[in-house]
Amino acid sequence: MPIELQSIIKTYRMGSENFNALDGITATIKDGEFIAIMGPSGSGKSTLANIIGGLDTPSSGKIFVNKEDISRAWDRALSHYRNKKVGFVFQTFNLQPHYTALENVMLPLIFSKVRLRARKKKAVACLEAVGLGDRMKHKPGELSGGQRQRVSIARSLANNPEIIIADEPTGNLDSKRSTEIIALLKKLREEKNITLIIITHDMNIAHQADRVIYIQDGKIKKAR
Amino acid sequence: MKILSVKKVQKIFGSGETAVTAVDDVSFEVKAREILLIMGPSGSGKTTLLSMIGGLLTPTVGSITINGTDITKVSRKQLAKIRLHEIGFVFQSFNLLQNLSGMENVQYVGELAGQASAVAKQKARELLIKLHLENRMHALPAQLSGGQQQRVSIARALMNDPRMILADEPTGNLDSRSGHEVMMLFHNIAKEENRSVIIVSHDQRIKDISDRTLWIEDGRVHTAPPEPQTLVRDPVCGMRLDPRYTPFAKMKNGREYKFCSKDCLEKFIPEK
Repeated sequence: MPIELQSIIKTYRMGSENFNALDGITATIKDGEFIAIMGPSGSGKSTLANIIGGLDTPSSGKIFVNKEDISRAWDRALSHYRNKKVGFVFQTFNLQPHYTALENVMLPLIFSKVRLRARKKKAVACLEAVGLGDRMKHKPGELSGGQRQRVSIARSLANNPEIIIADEPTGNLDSKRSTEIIALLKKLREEKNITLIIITHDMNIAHQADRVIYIQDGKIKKAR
Repeated sequence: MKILSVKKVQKIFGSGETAVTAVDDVSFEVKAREILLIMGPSGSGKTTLLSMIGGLLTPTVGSITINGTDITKVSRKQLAKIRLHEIGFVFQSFNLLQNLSGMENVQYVGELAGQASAVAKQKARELLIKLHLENRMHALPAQLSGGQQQRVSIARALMNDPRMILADEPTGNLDSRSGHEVMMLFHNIAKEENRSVIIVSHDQRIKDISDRTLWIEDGRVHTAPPEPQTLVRDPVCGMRLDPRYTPFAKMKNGREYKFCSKDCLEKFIPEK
């Protein structure tokens, strides 16, 4: 799904002043592209990723996903986009510690009107796709950091997303695990023709991307 | 009425020469309407203890009885059922699913427990209204403040009407006002709704609402916590802290500052 951002501004109120976390972002992301978003802490990277993924809405500007403007979509359409088209992966994995890997992957499917048996089947397939077929009954506390991130990637795949947005997916992992996680995301992208957007501080990851968007003070500083 | 009974519990990680005893010979009970605060230095075994009470870890020795059932003796399946129906969990980092609204984050716990979708939805709505989120229930976690996200996670913990709430550093990511609100909620949950609340925290303020403090050091329970050292003040919110037990600290201009939470640490701007 191609994504087009037009003059995106996101304003927050800080005390009595307004602050533009994003200050006029215009960019195009092609279908199936692998994009790295880089920039210093507080530059607006995560705000941008949240807006592309429909987790947040811009104060002004337009976002076209597959030529459809989601910046003006009302709640139900936006939630459909977020839950059916986008998969999210977070630095801190964001897993529920009291559920097994399998249950964690099944969670987002609860609202997809899929029957329990089909939900289970789908979750098993997703865990197998990330190489965790033999760890499904384990709880997050019984898994290593790399394995936990694989569970969260499996969860992001459960709704057959067309876009995966990963916010610092390797931030809590050592370099060997980081390499494995990025290799996995790239493999999934190729197999399923997923648009992959990774926010990162890691130059090694940025080098592997088709393009890098560098953000500073809410503006695109440069793009490679 | 006794809700929880922990008897001679020990947890050893590893084996042989590398074995580490994380929790050693711990026994205590918690009644309905009681708030127990578990404190102790980092690495003292408090989170290990809480994980065992929540059925996330199995003790090496000892028994843990919740509402009459020894959870160390039940099957994995029964344990999952107890966890779902008898225990509500609250975490420092909220652990909400980012692509679901506050309402959906609460609702799914009811559906997992077998409630019909419409029933779960109605129950989630009632809980969120009770926790003063009536205008924010359809917002996503990213659109909510830390305090609001923690209230959603408390609603989620209450969804299946558990007898016991387990909270791991529930105020650790909140500023002092939101932290106070969350503490008052726990107080009401125990006193008005007849539940047990067990909180692991280094936050001295929680002493104000707890009935008892269990002090853990090197895996063992000490009846009375050591006398506090001179307390220091959080430069952002003004809260008084025991400098030994707050993990949030920052060096600036040769001086060390201590903070009640990550939130205060991030807001800190030192005087010139």
